[in-house]
Amino acid sequence: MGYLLKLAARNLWRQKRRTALTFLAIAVGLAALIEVDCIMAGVDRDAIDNLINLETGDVRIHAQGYSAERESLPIDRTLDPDAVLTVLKDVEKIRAATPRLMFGARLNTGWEEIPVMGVGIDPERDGQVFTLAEYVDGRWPARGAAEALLGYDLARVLELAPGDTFTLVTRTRDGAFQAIDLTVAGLIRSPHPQVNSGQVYLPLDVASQALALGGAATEVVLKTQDGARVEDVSRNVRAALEDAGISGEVLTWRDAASDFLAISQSKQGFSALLIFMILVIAVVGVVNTILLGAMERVREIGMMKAMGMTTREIVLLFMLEATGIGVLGSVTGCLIGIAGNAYLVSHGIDILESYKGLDIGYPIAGVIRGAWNWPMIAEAFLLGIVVSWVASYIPARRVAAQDPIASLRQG
Amino acid sequence: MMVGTGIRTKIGLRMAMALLVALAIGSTELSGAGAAVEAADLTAEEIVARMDANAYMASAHLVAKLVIRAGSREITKQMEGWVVGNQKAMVTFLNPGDRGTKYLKLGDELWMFFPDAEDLVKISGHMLKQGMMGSDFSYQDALESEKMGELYEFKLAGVETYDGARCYVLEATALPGKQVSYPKRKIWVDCEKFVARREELYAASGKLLKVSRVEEVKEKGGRTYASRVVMEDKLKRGSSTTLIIEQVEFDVKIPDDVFSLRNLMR
Repeated sequence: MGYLLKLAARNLWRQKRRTALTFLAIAVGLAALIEVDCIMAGVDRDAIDNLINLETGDVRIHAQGYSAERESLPIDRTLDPDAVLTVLKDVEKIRAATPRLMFGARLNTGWEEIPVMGVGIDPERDGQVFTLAEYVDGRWPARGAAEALLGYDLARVLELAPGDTFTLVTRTRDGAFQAIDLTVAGLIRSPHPQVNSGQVYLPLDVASQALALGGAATEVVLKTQDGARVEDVSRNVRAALEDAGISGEVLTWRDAASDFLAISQSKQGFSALLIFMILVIAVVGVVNTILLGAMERVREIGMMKAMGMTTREIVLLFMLEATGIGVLGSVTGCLIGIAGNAYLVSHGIDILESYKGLDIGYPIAGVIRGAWNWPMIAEAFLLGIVVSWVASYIPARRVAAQDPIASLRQG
Repeated sequence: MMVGTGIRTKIGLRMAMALLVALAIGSTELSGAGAAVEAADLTAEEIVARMDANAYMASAHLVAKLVIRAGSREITKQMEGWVVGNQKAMVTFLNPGDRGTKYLKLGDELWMFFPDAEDLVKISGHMLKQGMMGSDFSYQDALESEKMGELYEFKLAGVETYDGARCYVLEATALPGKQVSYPKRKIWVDCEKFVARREELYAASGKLLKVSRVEEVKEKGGRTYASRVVMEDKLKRGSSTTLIIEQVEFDVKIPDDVFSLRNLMR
């Protein structure tokens, strides 16, 4: 076995250029796989953070039947926030809770009118659940004040700045037109593109009164304590609401973000495609290298056989050579991948600049940072070696099966 | 004086217009000849009843033009409509951009046909809240219009001269618990002809949203009708829609199959 290893290493060394080309092809493929996976893991992590911190919270409560009609932003399915908040006081592992009122509206500046989502927030509670306040340039609206926060992109399109006034045109619960005059208190520049481009935040009491809802909200959103499982908390909340006789739907962020998670799932198909492409590169490269090497070494193979080497040993020799290429490819690919990952994790890519205004259906904007996924790197390492090993078997068998005398004559 | 009655103020051609062209409802009154009556002699209820009676027609066929202005842009739509009472209306658009687009109102149902997609759509549920033909007048507004009298109570606020004509000024407030698009309206009704000369539509907050003005009144077959009505969106500067009735025939015989889904797709 030892001399076979030595022989394989020497053969690889003898064909430096061919060996290098083959293992580099494998290395580039593996490095690409590691990089793409790193970015995807980072995007997922950021997107989930943005979803939870700016859109869904950890757990949220709606009135019964709200979710089914959610797309149309119904305001006839509401909750009494005070009653719900009272119930939540006795539920464990909840850090904070805040009501919100989502409604469809059109933002009118007097010369432009565009559809937006109105979001009524409790100015005193919202910051305990959401991180919106961290991204506000300007003033946070006060309870009862006719003022609003606008997404930065929305404000730019409509040429609105803090201090400007606009009208939010909507319908009350009874379907009557309502026009709310508001002053821009501040602009939001968040890492969540939908927040920046399509939402108007105003005090909940102002919104609820304007929509003739008498203080009602469309949702109460919770932040759980660190380490608490959202499924456990939602189960406890559901039970507490039932005990209090409040009929509602309790959703975790996973339920609320099912669309996003579906996209996230679909990208696994992309990873599979990438792995397949790497397999093709590796198989073609390895088979090609083995076959070319064998053609050049027909006499040599014949001689080895004549000197008593068995077919099995020759197959093994060629497979060891292929495995050597695989090891070189995997090591190089993983090193390149890790170096790239290190950059992506520490610096990231600024997609806000590169893809401004591009809605990719993901709640991310700004700098995307990669995330380490060591199991994936280990998988990539093994993939390079195993594929090379397996791919070499058939060509090695073909080469080794030749008759030694014919091989010597042919050479 | 306050009255809250089941008075129909939205009928006939005006209904069709609201339905078809998403124009302000209160402004396209068609009316017959009204006898001059001393302003102070009538109550709000009587004025609305008179307006209602004058506006009623058994049937009508009309060709109209709609000029939509938004800033410097101007779009013209041409259409033909058939109306029977306040239950049936059919409109087909004739201008190249919308040719073949049709609306059909049958009682409380509203249907729409798009020739490009060869698609028949029943407007229902949340679609009712969407704007018609790119306007901010919803389908619900169109369907609601015929019931306006049952939804509002009217108050006579006074008598004024508007655009050279003596007019009763009526203030309409939505009756409690009724679903309406505009909780408040103010209507200037011609004291002689009982045509709405001007109407102001308000949001729940009291903000003025739309104003419709009758710019031209014509007579045909003993009837007086508003032939040119301008609707201004007070929230959008330079935004207005003008309805011009080019041809109209009253009390014509319209075959029943005009108001059928089959005709809608034809």
